[in-house]
Amino acid sequence: MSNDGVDSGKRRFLTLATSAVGVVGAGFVAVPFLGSWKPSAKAQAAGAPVEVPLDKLEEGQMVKVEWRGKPVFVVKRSETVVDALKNTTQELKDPESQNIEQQPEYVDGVTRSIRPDVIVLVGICTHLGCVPQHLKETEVDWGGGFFCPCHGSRFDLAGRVFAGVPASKNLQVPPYSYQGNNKIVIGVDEGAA
Amino acid sequence: MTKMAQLMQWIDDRFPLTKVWNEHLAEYYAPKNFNFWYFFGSLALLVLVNQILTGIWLTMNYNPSGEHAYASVEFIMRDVNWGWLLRYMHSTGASAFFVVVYLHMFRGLIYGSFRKPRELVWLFGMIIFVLLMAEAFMGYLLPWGNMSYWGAQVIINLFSAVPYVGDYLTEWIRGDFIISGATLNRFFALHVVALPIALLLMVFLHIVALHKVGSNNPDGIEIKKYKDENGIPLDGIPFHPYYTVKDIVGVAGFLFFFCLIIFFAPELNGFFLEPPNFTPADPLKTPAHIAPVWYFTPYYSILRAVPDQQLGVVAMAASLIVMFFLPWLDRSKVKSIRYKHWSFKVWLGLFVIAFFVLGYLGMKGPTPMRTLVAQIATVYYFVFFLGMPWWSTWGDTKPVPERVTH
Amino acid sequence: MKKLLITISAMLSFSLSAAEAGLTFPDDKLPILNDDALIVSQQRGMQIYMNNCMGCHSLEFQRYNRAAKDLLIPEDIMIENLLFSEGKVGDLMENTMKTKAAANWFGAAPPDLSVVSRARGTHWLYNYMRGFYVDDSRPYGVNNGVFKDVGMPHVLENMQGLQAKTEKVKGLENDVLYAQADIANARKQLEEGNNTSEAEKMLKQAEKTIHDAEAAMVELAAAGEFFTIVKEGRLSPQEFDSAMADLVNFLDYVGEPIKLERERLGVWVLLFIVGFGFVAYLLKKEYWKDIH
Repeated sequence: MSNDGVDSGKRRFLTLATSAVGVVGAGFVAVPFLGSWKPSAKAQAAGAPVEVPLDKLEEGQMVKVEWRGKPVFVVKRSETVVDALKNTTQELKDPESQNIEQQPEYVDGVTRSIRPDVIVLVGICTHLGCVPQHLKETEVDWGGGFFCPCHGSRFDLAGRVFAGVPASKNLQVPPYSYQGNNKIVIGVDEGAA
Repeated sequence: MTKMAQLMQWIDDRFPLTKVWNEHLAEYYAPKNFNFWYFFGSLALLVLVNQILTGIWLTMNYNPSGEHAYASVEFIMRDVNWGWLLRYMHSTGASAFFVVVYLHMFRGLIYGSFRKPRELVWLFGMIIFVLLMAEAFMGYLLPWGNMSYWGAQVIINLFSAVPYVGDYLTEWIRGDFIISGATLNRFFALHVVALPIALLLMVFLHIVALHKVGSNNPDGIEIKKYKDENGIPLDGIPFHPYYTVKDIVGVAGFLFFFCLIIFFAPELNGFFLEPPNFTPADPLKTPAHIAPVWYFTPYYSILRAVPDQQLGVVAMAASLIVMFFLPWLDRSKVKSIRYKHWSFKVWLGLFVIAFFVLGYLGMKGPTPMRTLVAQIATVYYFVFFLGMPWWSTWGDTKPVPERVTH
Repeated sequence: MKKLLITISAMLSFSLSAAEAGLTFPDDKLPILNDDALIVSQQRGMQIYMNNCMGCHSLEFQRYNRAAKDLLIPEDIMIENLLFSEGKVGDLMENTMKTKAAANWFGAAPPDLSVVSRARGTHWLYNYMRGFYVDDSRPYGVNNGVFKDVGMPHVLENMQGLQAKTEKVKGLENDVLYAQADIANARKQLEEGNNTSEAEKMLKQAEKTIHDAEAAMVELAAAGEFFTIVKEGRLSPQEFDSAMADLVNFLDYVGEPIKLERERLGVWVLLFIVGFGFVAYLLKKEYWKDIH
C-alpha cells in the first residue's frame, strides 16, 4: 500500500458523487415505505363524498353524518339566528374567519357557509378533539351554538370560537357543495364537480 | 479541537464508538485478494435489512387470521399505496436470501473458510442457515394460498415420523387437527418476532467471531503471519474504505438483478411465487402437484428418495446436520481449492451436480426413474461429506505461497 | 453410465413440464396485444365479463374505480354501463350470490376470479373459455376440453353456439382408449411373466398408436378441424375467439392491476442502478489504485 500520487481531489469528488447518488437512491427507496402510510384505496372508498338531503331539515335542527369517519354537523339556521351572527355581541377570537385553514375559501367569513341558512361543520372540537354538543339558541342564554363537554369550549352557531375558552380555532368547515337546491355533498368542493 | 471532534470525544468517553468503528471497519484488516465470491457476505446483510424493513411494513396491513390472511395479501397488492412493491421486495428477497447464502456457503467450501481457526464462524453460519430455513418455511404459510397450506401440511407431517409421539407432536405444532388459523397465528408470531431476533443475534455472533480470527482468502493462508512494524498484516488492507467501496459496486450489481426480477418477473415463472398460491387455502383440495419453493427442493428430494417415511426424515435432517461437521471432516493439508489435489475438483464438481439434480427433481413429480436418480444423488451427497476425512487426504497438494497472490 | 447420462440430461430438459400435463384441446396461443390495442381489448373484455360472468363470479379484490382509471373508462360511463348493483364506484366488484346455494347448483361454488389469471395462466384461460363441447353424459350437456368434467355450464352458448368433436377426433380418441387398454393388458402379462415377447410387441404397438393418434389430433387442432360448430351462435368462430381474447386480457389485468405501471417504473429503476453502479465503480477503481 502506498499513498504516492493519490489524486485527492478526484477521490473527494467521486466520494461525494457516489454519496449523492446513493442518498438520492435512498430517497427513492423511502418513497414506497412512506407512501404506503397514505390512506389505502379501501379507506378512500370509505371516505367517499357523502350526500345530505336538506328537504326534511327544519329550522334550528341538526343532522349528524359521518364523513371520513368524522362526525359532520349540518344545521339549518333561521333568519333571526343569521342576523344575530352578523351583529354578534359575543366576544369571539376570530369573528371574521381570518384563519384560512379552518374553512374553504368559498364560504362567507361571518356566517361561515355557502348559503346563510345552512351551516356545515366538522363536529370535532379544535381544542383536543372531543365531539361538541349542539345547543339551540332557545336552550341557552349565550345565543346557542356548540359546547364541548370535555373542557368547556364554546362556539356560536357559525362555529366561531368564544373568547376565554381553551379552544383557539373556529370549528372546521369541510369542503362541500350544493347539488341542486336541496342537497349538499360533503367532500366535494364547490365548483369542483 | 473542532466542534465535531469535541462531540466525538464526548461520545467516546461514554461509548466506544471510535473503537468499534476502528476494530470492525477502519482498522479491520482484510486480505487484499478477495475476489467475486467475497461479495455475498455483505449482500446477505443487505438482504437481511431488506427483509426486516419490508417485513415490518407488510405487517402493518397483513391480517394473520384464517378468514382474512389471503384477502389481506391481495389488499396489500392492490389497495395499499406501493403495497405491491413492498410485497414483491419481500417475496423476491426471500429467494434472493437463499441465492446469496448458498453462494456464500459455497465460497466457504472452495476456500476452506470453515477450517481452523474459523470453526465457530462456520457453526454460527450454519445455525443462521437453519434459522433461515425455518423463517422461510413459516413465512411461506402466511399468504394462506393453497400451496402455502399444503406445503405446510407436508412439512409439519414430517414430525409424525417421530416414534411414539409423532401424531401428538404434529397436533401440538398445528394447535388443531388440521392446519388452521391457530397454526397461522403462531407461525406469524415466530416469523415476525422470534426468528428475526434469533437471526439477528446469530448474525452478530457470526461477525464477532469472524472479526476475532480475521477473514480467510482465496489462497487459504493466514495474512497475520507477516506483519509490519506496527503489527499490521502486510497483505491486509483496511476494510473501510477499500472493501466498503468495493462492496458498494457489488451491491449495485446485485440490485440490478434483484430489481429486474421485482419489476419484470416477480413470480419468476413460478419459482418465486407459485401459481397454486393464487387460490385460497382449501383444506379439502390438494393442488395437483405439491412442490416446495426452489430453495428447499434439494432436501425435499432427499426426503423422497428414501423409501421409508421415518428414514426419509432422518436422511433429510442428516443432510443438514452433516454440514455442521465440515470443519472436522476436511483433513486436507491445505484450505483452498487452488492448492488442493485435482481430485478435490472432481469431488466438488460432482457434489454441485448432485445438489442441482436433487433441487431439480424436488420440483418434479416422482417417477421410478427420477426416484432412482435422486437416490444416486442422495448417496453421493452423503459420500461427499462422510467420505471427506478419507478422500480429502488423497494425492499431493500444490505448494502454498507464503504471501497472498494478488 | 452412458444410459444414465442420457436419462439425466432428459430429465433436466425443462420441456418435460409441458408434456407432463398431457395433451388438451383446444391449445391455441392467446394473441399478444400492446398499448392502446390491449387497453381497448381489456375494456371490451370487462363489458363481456360484467354481462356474462359477474352474476356468478365476483372479482372481490378489484375496485370499480380502479378498473375505470386503469382501463381509461370515464367514471360516469362506468357507473351507467357497468355498475349494475346499487354500489358506489369505489366499491369492490362483489356479487350477491350465496356461496352455499351456488355450491348446491353447480357442485362447487363458482370461484372468485380476481387472481385466476395468475393461478391458471392466460393460455389456459383462453383455451378453457373456448373449450366447451357437446357431451350428453354431463348434467349440462357440455364438457370442457381443458377442464375435464367441469361443473360450469356453457354460459356463452348464445355467443359461441355449440361445438362438438369431429368424427375424425372421436375415432382417434377411440383408438387411444383401445391402445390404453392394450397397454394395461400387456403390462399385466409382463408382470406375470407370460407371453413376454408377444406382450412386449403389443406394448410397443399400442404406444405407437397413441403417439400417432396424438400427433394426428395436434394436426387436426392446428387445421381447426378438432371441433365443429353444431349450433350457430351470435358470433362467428373468429369473432368469438377475439371476444375470448378480450375477456382473458381483462382477467389478466384484474390479476395484477399494477403490472403495466410496474414494468414502466422498472425501466427507470434499472437505469438508476446502472448509473449508481458506474459512479461506484469509478470510486472503487480510484481507491484501489493504492493496492499493489
